[in-house]
Amino acid sequence: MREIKVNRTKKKVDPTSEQIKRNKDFSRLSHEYDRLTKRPRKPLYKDPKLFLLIFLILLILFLVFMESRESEKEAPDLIEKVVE
Amino acid sequence: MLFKRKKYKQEELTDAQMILLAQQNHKHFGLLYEKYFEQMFRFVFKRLGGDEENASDITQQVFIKAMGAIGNYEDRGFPFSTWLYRIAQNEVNMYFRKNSRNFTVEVEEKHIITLLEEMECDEKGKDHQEVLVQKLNRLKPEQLDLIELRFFQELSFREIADIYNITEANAKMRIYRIIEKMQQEK
Repeated sequence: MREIKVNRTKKKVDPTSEQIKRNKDFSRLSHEYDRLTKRPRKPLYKDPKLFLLIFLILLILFLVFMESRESEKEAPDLIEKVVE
Repeated sequence: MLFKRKKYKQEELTDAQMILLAQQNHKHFGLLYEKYFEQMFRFVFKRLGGDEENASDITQQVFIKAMGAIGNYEDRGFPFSTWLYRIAQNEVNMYFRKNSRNFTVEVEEKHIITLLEEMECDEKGKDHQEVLVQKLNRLKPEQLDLIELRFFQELSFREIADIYNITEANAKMRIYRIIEKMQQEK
């Protein structure tokens, strides 16, 4: 609830230049803005999407590696067959 | 130096240029802050009846909100200060709502006299002033807001209209209806 009251003293309801200067601080504002808007870093294990993505990439890499090893094993037999 | 950030001077730029810079990088919002801080601080300070500490916090909140929303700001032909006033008005009202305790707003005597003149009241003595204050205290918060903006903050009808996103004629009509209501009240 707001209550209006008449100020009968000669003192003006206006901030002094000193009060304005004291409260004007852009670096404080900018710092506060960064603090409020910066996303907190989420650990990997708490982010299921990122975890799944990395897991899939690793799985594909593993399968490709296994596949290339298999083909390496088969390669000498093929060469022998070609020579014969 | 090739990558040295360019320093912009507030007096060399128009509001539109400063807004564009702030939209590109929020660090440039400082230009707008420098230009409008005093105006906004005065507005909030007066509305809180001279409470410096809370006025400082609310003004800070106003600029943080403005900084966050500057990317969506569109120039619709109103001065940039109107947009800030709108945010400040909302923040002050939110503060009043949150603080259920009675909050005293001190108003200068000359503003009460101006309001009495507007009400075509011949007597402007202390007794009449007190009667008017009682009537003001019985108004709905949104009605008191309009009276405060017009007579205590001395904003123009145009500025009030821009804050409420209404036409100037509508702002004038709303304010004069409140005055009429107070005139009829015993």
